[in-house]
Order: sequence, then structure tokens, then C-alpha cells
Amino acid sequence: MELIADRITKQYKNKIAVDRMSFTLAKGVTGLLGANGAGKTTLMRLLCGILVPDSGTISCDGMSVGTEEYRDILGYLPQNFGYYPEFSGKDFLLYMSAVKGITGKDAARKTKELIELVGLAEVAGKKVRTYSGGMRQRLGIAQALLNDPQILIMDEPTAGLDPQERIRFRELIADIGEKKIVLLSTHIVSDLEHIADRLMIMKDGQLIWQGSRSAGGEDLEAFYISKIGEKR
Amino acid sequence: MNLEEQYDRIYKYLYFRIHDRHTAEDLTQETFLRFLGSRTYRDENRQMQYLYTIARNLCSQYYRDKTIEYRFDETLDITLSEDFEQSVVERISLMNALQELSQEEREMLFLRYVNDVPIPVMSRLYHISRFAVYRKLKKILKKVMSEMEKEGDHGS
Amino acid sequence: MDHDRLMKDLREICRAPEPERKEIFFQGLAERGVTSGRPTSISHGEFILRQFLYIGKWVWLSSAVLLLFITWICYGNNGNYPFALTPLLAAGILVETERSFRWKMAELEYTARFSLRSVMLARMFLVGAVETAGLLVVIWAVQPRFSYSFGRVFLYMMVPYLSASLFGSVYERKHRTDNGWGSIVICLLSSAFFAAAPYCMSSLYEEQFAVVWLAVFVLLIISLGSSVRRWFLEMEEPAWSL
Repeated sequence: MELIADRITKQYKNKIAVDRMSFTLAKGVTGLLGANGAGKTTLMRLLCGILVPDSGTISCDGMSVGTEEYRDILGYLPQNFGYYPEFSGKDFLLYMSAVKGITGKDAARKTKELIELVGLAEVAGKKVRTYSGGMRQRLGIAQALLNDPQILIMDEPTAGLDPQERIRFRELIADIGEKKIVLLSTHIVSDLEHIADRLMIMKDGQLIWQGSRSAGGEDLEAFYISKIGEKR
Repeated sequence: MNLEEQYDRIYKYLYFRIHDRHTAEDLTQETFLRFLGSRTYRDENRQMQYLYTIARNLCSQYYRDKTIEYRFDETLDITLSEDFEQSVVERISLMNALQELSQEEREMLFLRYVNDVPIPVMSRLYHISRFAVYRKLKKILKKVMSEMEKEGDHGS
Repeated sequence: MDHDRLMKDLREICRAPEPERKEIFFQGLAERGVTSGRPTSISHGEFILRQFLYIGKWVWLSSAVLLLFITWICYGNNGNYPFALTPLLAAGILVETERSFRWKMAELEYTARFSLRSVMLARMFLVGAVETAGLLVVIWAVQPRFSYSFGRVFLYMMVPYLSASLFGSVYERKHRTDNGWGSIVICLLSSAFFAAAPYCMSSLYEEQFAVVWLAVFVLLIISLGSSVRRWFLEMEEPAWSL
């Protein structure tokens, strides 16, 4: 399975948010690095089908990203998301199951599994509005996994997580990344050091470098800074 | 249609496209693994559509490195029937006619008349209306018939 | 050559040798439990039913109260005022449809299998259908209290309701992430407008004017259809102001 982007471009409000990017995502974890405003969120939205590129194509094994089939195998964690007011953590996951088209029994089972997986078992019955930032983020990660996605796209997934939660997250992703396509964006380089197989570096909407993680060497931070400084 | 029957159909389709038993079966299994690794649709037509889509994509990937698709008139396994000579001549004529069609036309013919794929599924596979599917099939059949007549005239 | 013969030959040519590894393959799958591992899918019908269950109770409650109130007012000999109350019914539909944006769930729902559009459409359809049906029942129930024909009562009730729906949908389309008050204000203003209108135009509810009401009704239906369509098509981010 491959997610192929071919010269995609997206512009708004007179700014080119994504500029002729081409890349292929395959099984494994790909880290998307770039400063805030580099266009990472726009790129992810394009890959999820939320936005339509002005030019260029994105497809996965012949499926266009706007189709129901694609959404069926997609798990997405946006940078910001809310929740309906009276929901508990469990209610939230059950609701997302319904929108993802998962049946009652399977939804209940999956919800329970994922609550355990992200460590929210103790607060699952409590209202989401009582959750800390880290807990909400973990809830978001759980909902992304409800439909056993083959493609997982996460925008700044470690934001708001404390060090221990980060470690847990890394383990989870490393595990998933073995068999699925995972794309994580972040502006914190250390997040990717241990989990990314491949890296993509974005600056001002352009893909200025892509390659395997090992090419980045021991000091990923320095590598990143050098690449960012290089172009133009 | 249960999964095993679907398997036979997909295998038949892949053999039609690739004409190598081993590869065709490999790809059939790959198709099923991907299919089962994703959502199970309750609607049989959707299932079929999805299976054929995956199989087709696998074919494209397979042929990406090769320059020519399998030529239809290279089939060697001609089977016997009652009026042997007549049927052999007809079949060679048909094979030549099929080779004159485009890949897509051949595929449509195969899917509809050999694998009995329902029209709604074909409509979704080719992204055209059901009406358009009917028209195209009619056109293709006409083309095949006229190609065969032409050969008859030339006494090939 | 005839069709059947052609088909027969075609099938012969396309015959494939038997697959050799089918049994082993399926055995392997069964062992790994693959064939039943994935969550199964729900149909569109089930989806709509579930969305129905998620629609806030306040919507049904307030609609019921409103419809009863309108009925009661009609029975109280209050002239043409009851007609000005129907726009308030539209508030429920508008507010409920935009719920995803209000609570910032839109992006998540967008990427789910039944996308945001289906969720919004389901809500709008469910609340709209129930409220409109309720209104029709009320119209049928109160018509005897008026000297107007059924057709006229129908128009006098539906036009304000549809107007508020139309303006509300246009507003919602442009101001997606607002907290819903905008729609409520529009409905209140529509109500006020229809309450005040008879004073500016005394012949508004007279028989010969009914034709104008009919024309407006038709126009509203068409405009509403087109506005709703645009509401759903314009899903790109700038409209969301995320």
C-alpha cells in the first residue's frame, strides 16, 4: 500500500501553503518536520481529503482521497478538536465509532480496548470537559484508531503530553508503524528521533528534504537546522 | 457469492490479464489480503467493486515494469469440442478480433460476459452510468463481430 | 455468428486453469481469524438512526412546546399573529445542523467514513422532517379556527417558516463557527417582520393577495434548495475559518 502525492499545490489568501510537493508514503513511520506556518497542517488536510489541491493528484492504491473507501482506512488526529458538551470519554469514542460506521458490539469492544491502550480507563466515565490537555490528546489518539486504519495521519500528536505520556505514545506508534503507513507532523525534533523511519522537512510550503531517518545522523536537531538554513 | 467463489472469479480475471498461473494466484491472494485487511462491506456489489479495484491496481503495478501487456492472440491452449475444425477457426478468429480491441474494451467484455459482473458494479468500476455501460458493451460486441466478418472475407 | 455462440467461444478462450493454492490460503486465513477480525460496517439507514439518537433532546422539546403554543394561540382568537411564530421553528433546524462546527468536531467528522456532510445532512433532514410534519399537523388542526381556506392557512404558516430557514441557511454558510445565536436572531427578526407586516400592508391576508403568497412560497422552495446545496458543497477550509 502506498500513498502517492504528485506535485500538489494549495494556495489560499494569496499565500502558497503547499508548493508542488511530490512524495510517496509507504509502510512505516514518516516524520514531517517544519516550523509553524510551514504548511504541515495544510498538507495533512490535503492527504485526508479535507482540502482539495489546486493542482496535482493524491491517490492511494488507485483510490482517490476524497472517497468513502479511503476514509474507511484512514485515521486522523487534527491539531485542534473539540467534543460535544455532555460527552464522557467513552461517549466520545462511541459517537466517533458511529460516524466511522462501526456497529454496536464492535464499537463497544474497540472503545474498551482503546481506552485501555491510551491509559484512560480510570477517567473513561468522566466528562471530557474535566480532562487535562494530555488526556484529551490521548482521547484523540484513541479515536484515530477506532477503525483499525491502514493510514494514520497525526498533526502534532505529542502536543500537551507529559514526558511519560510521550514515551507511551512513541511505543504505540512504533508498534503501529510496523504494518501501517503513519505520518506524524511536529516542530519538536526529539519526538521523531526514536520512532521515525523516514523524514520529510517542509519550509514555506516546499519539501526541502526527504529521506530515511538514518541519513539524519545522530544529532537530528542539528541536521534539521542545517537543512532549514540551506534552501534559498 | 461466498469468498471462495470470489477468489475463483478474481483469479480468473487476473489470469485473463496476466496469463501466468503462479503470478495470477499470487496477486489473487494479495488482493484478498488487502481486501480483508480493510472494511467488510455488507453489500455484495461493493465487495465485488472493491476486489476488482484492488486486483486492477495490482495489475497496473505488475505491468509498470513491463512494456507490453500480454497479447491475446498468443494463447496456445485451444480446447477441443464437437466440430473441432470449425470451432478452432472461429476461436482463432475471435482471438484476433479481441486483439484489435483496446485493453479496456477487452476487459469490459471479459468482466461482463465471462465473469458475469453485474452492471451496477461495472458502472462504478469505470465511473460511467449504467446506461453508458450498456452502450459500450453493445459497441464492443459490434466491433468484435465486424472484425470477425472481415477476417472471414479475407479467408484468413 | 450468433450471440450465444460468441459467448461460448469467449468463455472458452478465457478459461483459466484451476487455482492451486486456494485451500491452503483460506485455511491460513481461518487460523489467523482474519475473515472475522475487522469491524463490520453499518448501512446508511443505521447511520441515520444513530444520528437521530444523538440529536439533542432540547430540539425536540422546544419544537413540541412551540407547536403546542402556536396551536393554543390559534384557538385564542389572536388574529393573524400565530403566523408570525413559525420562523422560530426554523431555529432548531439551523442550530442543530451546525452543531459540528460549533463544538469543533467538524474536522474529525469530516475524515470519518460517513463524512461531515452525511452527519449534517442527517441532522438537517431529521429535524427538518419532524418539525415540518409537526407544522403540517398543526396547520390541519387550526385551519377551522380561521376564515381562510386550508391552502391559505398553509401558505401563511409555511412562508415565514421557509423565509427564516432560507436566511438562516445563508447566514450559517457564511459564519460557520459562530455559536448559533446568529440563526436564532434571524428567526426572531423574521418573526418580528411577519408580526409587523400587516400594519404596513393591510391587504396582506386578503384573498386576492394569496396569489402573491403562493409565488413567494415557490420562490422560497427553490432558493432554499439552492442555498442548502451550496451550504453542503462549500466545505473548504476558508469557510470554516479553522
